[in-house]
Amino acid sequence: MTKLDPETRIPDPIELDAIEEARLRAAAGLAPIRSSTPEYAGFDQVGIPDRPPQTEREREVYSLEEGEMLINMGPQHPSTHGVMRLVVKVRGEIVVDIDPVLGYLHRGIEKLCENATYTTVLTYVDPMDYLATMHNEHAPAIAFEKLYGIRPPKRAEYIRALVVELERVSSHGLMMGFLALDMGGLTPILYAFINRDEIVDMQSAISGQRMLFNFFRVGGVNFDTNDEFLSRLGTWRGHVLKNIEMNERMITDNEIFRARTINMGTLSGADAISLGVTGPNLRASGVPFDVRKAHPYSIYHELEFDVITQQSGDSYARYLQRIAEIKQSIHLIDQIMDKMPHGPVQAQVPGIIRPKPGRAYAAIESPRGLYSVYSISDGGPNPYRFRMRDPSFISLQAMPKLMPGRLVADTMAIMASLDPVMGGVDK
Amino acid sequence: MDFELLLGLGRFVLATTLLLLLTVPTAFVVIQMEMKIIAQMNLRFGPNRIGPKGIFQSTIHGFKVLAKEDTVPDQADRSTFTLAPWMVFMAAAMSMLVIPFAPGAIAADFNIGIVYFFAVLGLSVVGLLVAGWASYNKYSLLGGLRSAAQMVSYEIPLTLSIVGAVVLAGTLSFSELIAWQLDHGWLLMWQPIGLGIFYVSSLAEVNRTPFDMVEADSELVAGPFTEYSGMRFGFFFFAEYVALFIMSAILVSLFFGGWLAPWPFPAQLGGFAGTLYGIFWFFLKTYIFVFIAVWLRATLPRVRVDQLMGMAWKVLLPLALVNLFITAIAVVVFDL
Amino acid sequence: MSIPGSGIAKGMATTFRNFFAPKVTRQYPEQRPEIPDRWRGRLDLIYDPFGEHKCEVCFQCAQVCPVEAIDMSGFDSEGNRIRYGMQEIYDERRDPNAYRRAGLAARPMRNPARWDEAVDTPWVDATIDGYGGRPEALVAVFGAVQDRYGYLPERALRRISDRTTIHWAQVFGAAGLGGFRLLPAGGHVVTVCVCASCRFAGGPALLAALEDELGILAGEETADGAFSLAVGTDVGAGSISPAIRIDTLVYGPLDADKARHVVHERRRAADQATAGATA
Repeated sequence: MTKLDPETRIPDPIELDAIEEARLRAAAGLAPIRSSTPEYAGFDQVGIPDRPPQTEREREVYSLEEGEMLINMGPQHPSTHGVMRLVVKVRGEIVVDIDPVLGYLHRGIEKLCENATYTTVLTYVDPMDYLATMHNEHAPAIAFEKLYGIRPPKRAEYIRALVVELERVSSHGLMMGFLALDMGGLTPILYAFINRDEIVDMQSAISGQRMLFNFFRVGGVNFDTNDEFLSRLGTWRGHVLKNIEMNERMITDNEIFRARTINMGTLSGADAISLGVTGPNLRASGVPFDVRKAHPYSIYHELEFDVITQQSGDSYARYLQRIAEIKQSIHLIDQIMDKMPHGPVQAQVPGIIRPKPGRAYAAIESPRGLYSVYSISDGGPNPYRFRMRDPSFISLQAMPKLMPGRLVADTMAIMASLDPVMGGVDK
Repeated sequence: MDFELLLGLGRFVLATTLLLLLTVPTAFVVIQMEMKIIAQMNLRFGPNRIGPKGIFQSTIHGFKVLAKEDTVPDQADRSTFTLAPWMVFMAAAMSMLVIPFAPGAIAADFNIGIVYFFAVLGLSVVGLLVAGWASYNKYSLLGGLRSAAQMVSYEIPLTLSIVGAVVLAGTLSFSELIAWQLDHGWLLMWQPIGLGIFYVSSLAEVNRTPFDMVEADSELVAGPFTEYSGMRFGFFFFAEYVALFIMSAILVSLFFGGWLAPWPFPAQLGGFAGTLYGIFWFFLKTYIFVFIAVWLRATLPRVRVDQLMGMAWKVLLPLALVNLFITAIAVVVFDL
Repeated sequence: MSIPGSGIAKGMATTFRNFFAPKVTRQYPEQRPEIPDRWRGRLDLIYDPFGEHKCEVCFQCAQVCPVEAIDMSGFDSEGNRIRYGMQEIYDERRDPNAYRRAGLAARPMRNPARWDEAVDTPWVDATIDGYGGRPEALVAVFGAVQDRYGYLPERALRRISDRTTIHWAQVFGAAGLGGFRLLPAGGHVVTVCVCASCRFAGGPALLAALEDELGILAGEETADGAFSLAVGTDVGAGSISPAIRIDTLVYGPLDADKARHVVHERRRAADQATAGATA
């Protein structure tokens, strides 16, 4: 420690922090941080927390047998989606156990929402699942409408369904690219972004924002469609299938891709149900559950579509499931554009909403599965309790089941095939 | 002292210096090709700001790497950590000695040039292994071990695949092999299976997609290079791209007639003009294969490490042995 | 079952075709993106057809902004300046007590005296009101405060910020203008400009003359504390170089004799004021 300058008496904050940390560690009975460890001492021990294990599971993961070591995948790693940390226990290159560590992106959105008025909640939920922003707004909007006891006009419902299906196309398209990227394919992700960029431009034409659209309102949507949106939609509809096909040619039949995904990360239907996995991941395991069909919301009971399923439940099936759903969504968009009625897009709602005390639940089918919102009102302008079920979080539960026995290289490929979004996982 | 010996020594020093200097622009050109071609295939423009059409981008990258801070991890094995980039780079640079650029333009025309080449290029695995171990990093360690396993495995089919060609031509010298190809047509026609095995194995040997196990950025961050920065990383980077160039050059010399034009070599061209003519064809063919390697990288995902090893031992090695067997029988039966 | 390698060949064909295909990247500075008509990210206020701001400073936007990003001020219908913002939060972050509340080690102040400086608050208010409370008068108010205290005490600046509803950061930034001091200095500060043009026109000669006149070197203070001599490039008087500045007043162009005269006059005026005060 250097001597402080008597003139200024401003100690180095880093030094102060170090002193403070040493004091706290001493108070908590932890070993002090060594400034230099002996060379190569305990190379395989690096990554084990320096505190006793808190749970049985933790003891299981962090106790190593002969020949095993821990590898940290993330939170800063070239291919973790967002900031996720996987503690991987490996024997050579074979994964023995895996422990997903979450919370690096936790922003306390639920608590923020409980302090916001019902109108502004819809802006807070945007950055949760940042690849499906419209879906994030859809469920709270429905829940608040149930609480307040209004229904949005028909045209608003159609516009909602339209933008939501567009978002699904862009999200599933990106999943194709990310899956290839995590296996070392550089190109499909960029082709996928061409498609996504057009959709985002289109949605920013209708909503006035990129990415975080803030388009849904309690009792309707912010804007009606305009010429700019419709002309972009028409152009996009003209070549979207060609674009998706271009990406499919890169991936679907590629022998290397097939060798790395078929029979890889197989999730059986029963396992998927018991883990609570929903959405494309569940349907790829052969379970025909789609919220749009099982519990129709918005206008989905007026549209014709089938629940697509795959049988094998492996990474390749999850990939094929996404492709099939992209085509289905485009089909839905065609129907919506055909049937869209005229009329207003926003019901009469006051600026500050004060619903009667009560509770409401709304579930929608987001690109990652069943996304639902449970909201309790105590009669005030803010939700008393606001709870979101995010499908990515549930999907991650399947990982310790899928990965053991695979190679380190497969962890990322399997994770990409589950398509989690960390913004939604950590909330 | 013997004047002839002095002349030979001087020529050798000049040639090695020239080749060492050649590695730098070669790496720049290959890196630039990689950036630009992959970008174009991705429907991007790629580098287009520095210099006309962005041609100086890789040069600027090179200088940037020079200017960066050179860090050594706290618990790294400092001496070997420092040495590893040199081992990898020198393995690549030394194997350039036997590349036959043109008639008369070959630094050292050994009679065992092919053996020398494989012996020296294989040394780079030592450097990667050392880098992986010395870094005190688990990613580096896994990457280093992967590289050792991969390169040792692929040395075998790689070497066996050209034994057929050697048996046919009856020589281990690159210039004599090319002279044989001048008389009998390119070895491409004689050894198609050998060519296929050689190409696949050479991609694995220089860690190119789809066999870039060593780096595998989506799994191992940057493999053995993870902890390197500054010019040490630059050496690895250079060595990698120079090795790609060298492998393409050797492929061209072995199977595509080296400096020979696709049509008969004009007899009246001798001396310096002949050398230039040869260099032109040699570089043209070599860069076509560099292009193909980059093209593969733009298209393919990476194979998994067990699939990679399985392919070496279960597919390529038996194929190479069969190829050698057929060639040997043919040589005996048809008295080639 | 297809032929082995056909999938790879399909992909290779796709990339090769795209190698020659038109590119989709927008070359940003040359190609501007098409901003939608409804774009909500424009950082300007909308004008009505008569060239007036449509914004009526109703603060509704600032009140509903979920992330509290809007900090605005303006005039109400009676011409009073009104403000809505998170200034207090910003101020608190600078406060040493905020560190303590956050559980961090408190950083001692560089100059604790500045926090305890007594400032005649009613006088500051009266001065501000004398200038109409308009933001344009900020520099004039600063001049008055500095004339009285010899520098700008932090409390006075805060009072100015509160009274004029100009944001604290702006007030503090404006106080960094040439001529204003945030710390007390000895007596009147005579600043000799050493910018390029003044130096060329004879600034060094002025400096030598003033050093001789005051009997001190640059950076020093006279024995009675009435004057201190400084050099600076921020006198900001390019057309009248060589120039000097005494407190906030700029004199120039000067030669050595005129400079001596100016300082002499100033000293005499100061002496008279002191004499008057004691009398």
